[in-house]
Amino acid sequence: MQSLDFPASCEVESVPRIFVFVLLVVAVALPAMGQTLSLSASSLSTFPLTSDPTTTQTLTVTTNVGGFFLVIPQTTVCAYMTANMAGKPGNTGSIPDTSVQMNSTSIVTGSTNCGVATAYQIANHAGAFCFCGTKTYTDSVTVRIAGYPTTLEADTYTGTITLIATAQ
Amino acid sequence: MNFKNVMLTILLVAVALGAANAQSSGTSTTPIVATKAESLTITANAPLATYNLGALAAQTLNISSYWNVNPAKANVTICVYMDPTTGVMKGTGTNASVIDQTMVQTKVGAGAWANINAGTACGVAGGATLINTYPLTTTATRNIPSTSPKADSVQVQLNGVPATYEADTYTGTLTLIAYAL
Repeated sequence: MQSLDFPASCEVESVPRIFVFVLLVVAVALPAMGQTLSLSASSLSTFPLTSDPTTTQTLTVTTNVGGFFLVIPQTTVCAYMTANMAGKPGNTGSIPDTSVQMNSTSIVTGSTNCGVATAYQIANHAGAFCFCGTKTYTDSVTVRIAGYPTTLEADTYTGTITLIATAQ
Repeated sequence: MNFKNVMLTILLVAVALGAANAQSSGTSTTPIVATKAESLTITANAPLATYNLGALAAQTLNISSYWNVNPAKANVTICVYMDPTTGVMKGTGTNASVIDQTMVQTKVGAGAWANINAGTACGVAGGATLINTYPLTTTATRNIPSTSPKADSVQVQLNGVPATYEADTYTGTLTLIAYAL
């Protein structure tokens, strides 16, 4: 047990010293240890490659920022792809990730967002004071495929969009 | 400043600094899927000329086809047949005589003449003439562009048409089919 040895001259009238100390430790530790940042997204339907660009769908991203005490940090939501959309085995064709567009802009931006090279920034929420414990952001972005090869083989092409949120 | 105020000040500064300096991230993934539908197109380059039932002669039917099919498909077969219900050659008006599929013969390459519906191919229940089979082993063979269609031909003749048939024009339909399996 660590003893607390406050100066005798300190005036502590209504708040016990140990309570203040524990509160101080917890307050300092919370931002560093208890942060939670989680994302979820709506599902996209299959894009029929019957036109170029394809029809547009809306992807809704929900971001929960929690574990912060009083101050909700600036939160940025991004999306990126690390590979082309591939067909089934034996199909050498693919849909380039550069053909996947968000809000009519290629998801491969060439810019670093959310700490990821070539990521697309979906939203940037400014930091704010909040006594809510957890802050939820809901962001929407349109998705379509444009500029894909006209010579693509008939097939189902599958890829993965990674969503990332950073709080700072 | 008493001890309580000092501690509260430190507390607020600590909170603000901690929050400002902390950095965290979270990720999630969502699939993105697109499909390109299969397509097969087959056409006769030109219709057959009218046969003279008084002096029958074989004709060549030239066919163009192109397709784009899934990797799971193994072959595209090219066939021709006469639908026994809708394709037989009928006369005009009250003429009840017909030239049916048993009187239409086909010949592929150096093969023998046979009734047009004698073969089993292209998934046609009533039979068909198999003109060609294209194995699909690569993307290039599964995806034939319209600008470079495949060319095939089959000879067609009428055979065994009763001489007693009334003078008339008999019109029917041959069906071409490109079939991927």
